[in-house]
Amino acid sequence: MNMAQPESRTSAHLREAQMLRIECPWCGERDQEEFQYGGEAHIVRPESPDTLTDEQWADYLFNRANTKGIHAEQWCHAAGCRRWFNVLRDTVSYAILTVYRPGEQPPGNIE
Amino acid sequence: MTFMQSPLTELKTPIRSLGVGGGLSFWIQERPFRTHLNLRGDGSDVRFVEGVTTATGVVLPQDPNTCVSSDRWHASWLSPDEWLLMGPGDDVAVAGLVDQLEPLHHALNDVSGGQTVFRVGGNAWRDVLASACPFDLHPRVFGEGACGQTVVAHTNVVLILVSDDPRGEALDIVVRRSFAEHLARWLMDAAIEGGFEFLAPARLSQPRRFAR
Repeated sequence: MNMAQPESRTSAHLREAQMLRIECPWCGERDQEEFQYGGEAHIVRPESPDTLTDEQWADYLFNRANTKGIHAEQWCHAAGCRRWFNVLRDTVSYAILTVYRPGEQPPGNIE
Repeated sequence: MTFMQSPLTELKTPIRSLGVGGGLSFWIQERPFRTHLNLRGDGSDVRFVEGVTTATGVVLPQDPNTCVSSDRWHASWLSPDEWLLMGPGDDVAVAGLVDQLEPLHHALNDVSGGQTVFRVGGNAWRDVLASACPFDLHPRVFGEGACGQTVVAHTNVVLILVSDDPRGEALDIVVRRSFAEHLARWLMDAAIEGGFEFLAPARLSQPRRFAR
């Protein structure tokens, strides 16, 4: 009979997962554990929702680009300074290309 | 009269556990009942910064993950417009701060009842913390005047390096009250190999003093 202890969730997680290191624009490079993912960036709320059709409103609320490749997304440094910021991340390799503050546009020179 | 109680009253401190080689390479002591104030405001407003200095003696740190002390108060950077002020529980100083900030755009919250401080030290403290914390504690990046918010054992904390403790270099861990016992037990478990001493705080309860 196998009496081995079941592996704890934490150690299984650490063994399997390749954690990201994310550069917070204020705090510097920290572990992924401190961050929260916030979905696609640069989605602008429509000026006057009253005038939209249901399809247009649903498109704003739910439809996302689901990019394969370089993706602009929002992250929050939840266990640190609790600021939101933007990240350009390759959704294929998970490589983080750059980070920039809210209100800023992504640098145009990244391919 | 109401009393404030340490969140660690269930831990029968002092606790002493010798390590594998008979050593004690880690110590923990709670520092309860200090005044904790969460302050938000515009750090580029000279009146705001000077108002805080007049009341507490500290110049609010503007650089991320840094902290400063005066003889009574300690200020840690929390975010670009937010600081944690910790002081001795002196109602007069808090009232002075309220008066100084009154005409300015700010938010000042007394969070003393919601969190507590552990001071940890001993020659293995960086190793003990590293077992449960993704934050880089190496002296090269986490030296004098540094602080940082991170997670230890899945619990949100503020870490503040202490260089004026007579027992040697130490670390203050600011932790939410309801997570304090969990964190204390985790740290003791992490420190078993090298041995640890959990010292009793100066007192476990004290009468509540109401500001204003």
